[in-house]
Amino acid sequence: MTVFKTILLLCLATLLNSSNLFASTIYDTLYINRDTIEMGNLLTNRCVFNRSNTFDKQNAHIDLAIGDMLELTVFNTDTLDHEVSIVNGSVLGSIGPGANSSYSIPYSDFGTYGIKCSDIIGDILGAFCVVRVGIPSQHNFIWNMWETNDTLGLDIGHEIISQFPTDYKPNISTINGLNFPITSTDTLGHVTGNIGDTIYISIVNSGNMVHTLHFHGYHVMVKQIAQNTRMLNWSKDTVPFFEDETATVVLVPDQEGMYPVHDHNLISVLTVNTYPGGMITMLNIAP
Amino acid sequence: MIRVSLLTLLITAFTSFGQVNHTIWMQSRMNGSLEMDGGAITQFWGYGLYTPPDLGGKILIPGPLLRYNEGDTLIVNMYNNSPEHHTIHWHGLDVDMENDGVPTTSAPVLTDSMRTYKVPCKKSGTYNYHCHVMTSLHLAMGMYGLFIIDPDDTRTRIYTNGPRYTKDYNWLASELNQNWSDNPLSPGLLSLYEPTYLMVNGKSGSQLHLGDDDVTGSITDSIAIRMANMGYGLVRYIFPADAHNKIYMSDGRPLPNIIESDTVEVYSGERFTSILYPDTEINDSVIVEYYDLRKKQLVGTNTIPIHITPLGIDELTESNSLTLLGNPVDDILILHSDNLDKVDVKLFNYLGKEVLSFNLNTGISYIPISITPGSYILVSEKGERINFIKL
Repeated sequence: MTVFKTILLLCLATLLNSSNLFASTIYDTLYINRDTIEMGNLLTNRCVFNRSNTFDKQNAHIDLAIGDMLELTVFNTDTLDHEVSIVNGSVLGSIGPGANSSYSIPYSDFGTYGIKCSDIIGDILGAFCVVRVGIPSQHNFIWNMWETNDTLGLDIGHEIISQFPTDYKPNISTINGLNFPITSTDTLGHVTGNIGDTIYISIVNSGNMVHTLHFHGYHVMVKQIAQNTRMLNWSKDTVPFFEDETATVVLVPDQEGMYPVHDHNLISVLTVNTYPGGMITMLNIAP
Repeated sequence: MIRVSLLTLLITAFTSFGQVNHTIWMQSRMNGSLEMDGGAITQFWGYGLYTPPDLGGKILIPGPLLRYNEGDTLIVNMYNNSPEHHTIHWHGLDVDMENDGVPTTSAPVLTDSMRTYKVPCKKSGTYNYHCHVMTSLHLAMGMYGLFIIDPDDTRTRIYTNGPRYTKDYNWLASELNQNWSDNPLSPGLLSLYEPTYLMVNGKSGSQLHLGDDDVTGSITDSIAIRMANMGYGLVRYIFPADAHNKIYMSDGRPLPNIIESDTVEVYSGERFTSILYPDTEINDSVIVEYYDLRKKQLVGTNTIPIHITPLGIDELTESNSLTLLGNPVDDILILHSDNLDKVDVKLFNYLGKEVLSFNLNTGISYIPISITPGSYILVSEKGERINFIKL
């Protein structure tokens, strides 16, 4: 009887410990939309994954449990072909204008991942859907960093040029498609919490250059990172994110206050030559 | 001198055993002048220490090195002696919001006014400080410095209970844009920034080859290197392979795993601490590469000489069998050897670089020397040493 109980308990423990206990197949739909946006007084072109065929400059995101199978259908509302890929992974396929395709993508590990347009236009213009896997449902935030040059964006979008320039000079820098101080109104990115909370921040770089985020007030722990893997479990206040990097950092605040987080490449913290702007958001920690 | 001593007594209050409150006075000014590599004079803004009420004294680029012990508290009285507002942000030190130096969440230091910052030195490591007003410009104009927290007064470990070192060097990489320095009030579009000068500790090119910045030591040394980057791009330090570089810390925290690599990449705002464990003689350079992150291109390089001698000075014994007749020395070394056999002798300069080697027979030898004036050391193959001055 004791042996039976032990075996039963072991089976139960194994089940509870299993990463895919609550795994299931998740059906979702995304739309590739593209339009002209205004950032400050600059116009540029932006490509995004949205939840409907109505353009929104903020990319959609998908939340999954560890072990989920994502059955994803993507509609291309654009007038151009777009190639869809798993970020830091394989190409899923190409979708023509007005067409759609479906993909099965398994997610077996905790962390922050992405699905992006890997054709040059969709890539440069920032089409990047964050996929969060196993992130707790409370105290979680997303920072999707993207920058561009206004003229380059328009020229790429209008197919005037088809190659990334060697003398790139970005003048628009965003988090979740917004620039500071508008980022303060973004519930997805503006971090709120209390002392002692365990706050998960999913950070991706959908831009065209490295972005190095500096945290005021706190160090964060790099819990998962796709490219710069040697930084795993490092405690940092300044973290570089390579192009197409996907990472999860954990913040456990030990003091109250309002603290900025910003790119420390200080050409990225401007909105139309005005400081502070661009790639800045805030940590708002209450007692 | 008496005034300084009294001031030190007044401003240093022991709070508890081993933990000290330090008070310093810093000023910000916008009228610095710096000779760059090649002789051009450029303007900069910066910080300097001063002793009240005398507001004289220099501002520096980088600003004064601030170095205290873990557990100490630093009180900084910051006087803004300039026509624009400034702050000090304590980069990486995780101070509270009031002392964070961000003008929108804590007040700026207005022109001709003073404010006090309280900076707890929580964890030993390498940090920075810099102005956070109009940071894109003020940082580029030179308003930054290095802040080191040691575990204790002995300055022999890079963090509490961490690995030991016998010598240490601190390198703060940064950049200067000549056009911004010439026209700081009308620099144009800030997003078009391009560095003109790529620096380590405010020096570039040949300025780093004057001897003051050389890494020197012996194979018995463990040499700590603290690296910080206040520029806008990537700085890549490449050490000679024989220096056996191990990376222990980043951003004031120990790494979970020691990284053995001859290359350390430091992005804007990051800090790293390494220790070199040379096991052979080195006369080489540390290469410092600067990359523009937008173009993904190498935009410039500096080199820092490194000289490692084969014998540790501390291990050497005073000569018993060799005698130098006459010190200082003019043009000829007159040496007497009691050894029955020939002895190999090497001559090193004060940087540890070998400048001459020769054999000595028993008895008196006359060795002509054609070397620059300064301090030198003779080292025999038996480990005996003689220090002398060349006139």
